[in-house]
Amino acid sequence: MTQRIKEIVSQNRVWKSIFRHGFPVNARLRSEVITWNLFLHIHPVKVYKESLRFRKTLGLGLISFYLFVILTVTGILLMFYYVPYTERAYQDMKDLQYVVSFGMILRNMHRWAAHSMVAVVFLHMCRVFYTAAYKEPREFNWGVGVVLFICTLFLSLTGYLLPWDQLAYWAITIVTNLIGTFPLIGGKLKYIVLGGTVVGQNALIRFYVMHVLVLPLFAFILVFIHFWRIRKDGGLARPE
Amino acid sequence: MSRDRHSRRDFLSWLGWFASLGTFGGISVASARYMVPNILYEPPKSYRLGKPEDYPEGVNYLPDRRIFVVHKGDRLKVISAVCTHMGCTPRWVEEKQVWECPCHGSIFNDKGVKIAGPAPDPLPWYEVTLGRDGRLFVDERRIVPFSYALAVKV
Repeated sequence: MTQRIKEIVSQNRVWKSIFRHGFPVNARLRSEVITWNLFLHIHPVKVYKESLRFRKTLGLGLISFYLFVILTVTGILLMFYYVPYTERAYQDMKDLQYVVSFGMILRNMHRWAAHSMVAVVFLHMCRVFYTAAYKEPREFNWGVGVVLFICTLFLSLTGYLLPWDQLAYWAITIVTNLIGTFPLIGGKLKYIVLGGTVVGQNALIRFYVMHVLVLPLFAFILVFIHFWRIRKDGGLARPE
Repeated sequence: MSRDRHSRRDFLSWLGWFASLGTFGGISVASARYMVPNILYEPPKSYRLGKPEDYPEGVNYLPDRRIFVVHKGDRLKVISAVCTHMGCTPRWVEEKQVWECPCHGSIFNDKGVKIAGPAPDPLPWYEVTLGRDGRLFVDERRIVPFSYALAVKV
């Protein structure tokens, strides 16, 4: 019976056009399912058993990526109701919480995932350090990871302003005043970051564009390189 | 004719690099300059307030302008309400006659001079004059010493 279903499902032009391989009934076809798929072939065909040991990595890199996906999905959904205009940003945030269906959980998930991601990527960095997984030939990937960490922090910072509440306004006032103290270029840097001299509409739209477009794009490309590098280096670092 | 060190091919290659680097360099410089605003739609640095009698005796906080209008007897002064440390708003504490900043604990005395905390500079006093319409005119671009005050008859 199941054999018949498998035949009907996979022996037609639609299936063959999409999947190209047969139904996975043996090892070769099972590996073809992975290797013929754009998204799945980020995984190798085979993994070392020690790489899968939970205690070794605590899955922190995986959790970081998962949080990034959650932030992206919830973020995109939030974008349908939030407008970065000073006269309505706070109200939009309140609407998301109390008026929009499932808005409360989406907004909360976004905020919790954001705070968690900062903690988790930091712990991931610690794990990589303490297992010496940055050693040759993985030095470049460590560097990519550090840049990703900084990216995460900037995403957190830019997102913090968007609710346009007291917490947001004063936090960014303080941080941009800190930027202003940078030697020589501090004043100019603060002017460009804020788009002016005060934390106002210009600052809000700049932070919004950085938060929803520039930094996620940059992070996405770097995550891609980060994963690519792990594959190229033969999987997670193992003891010699 | 002597043998040229560079061929026509080399010249065209050099031309190609010059064009592409020039283009991308130009685009980069233009994009960077683009990010620096030329006009700001921000509140002006000099503005008119109400008449002197609108500000009762003591320290009056104006949240929209982020200044304090200090009215003592027949003398009127205007001081900034932006802490010189990181930009929070210091609060006037009447009992202690000081401004206390809630963020990092800077304290300024009634002359605006810092007496405690991490603030590097005193709170600046702004020039305040009387307009012909009888309204106060504050110019934040002009910082005045503590001895400066506007004499008002109230």
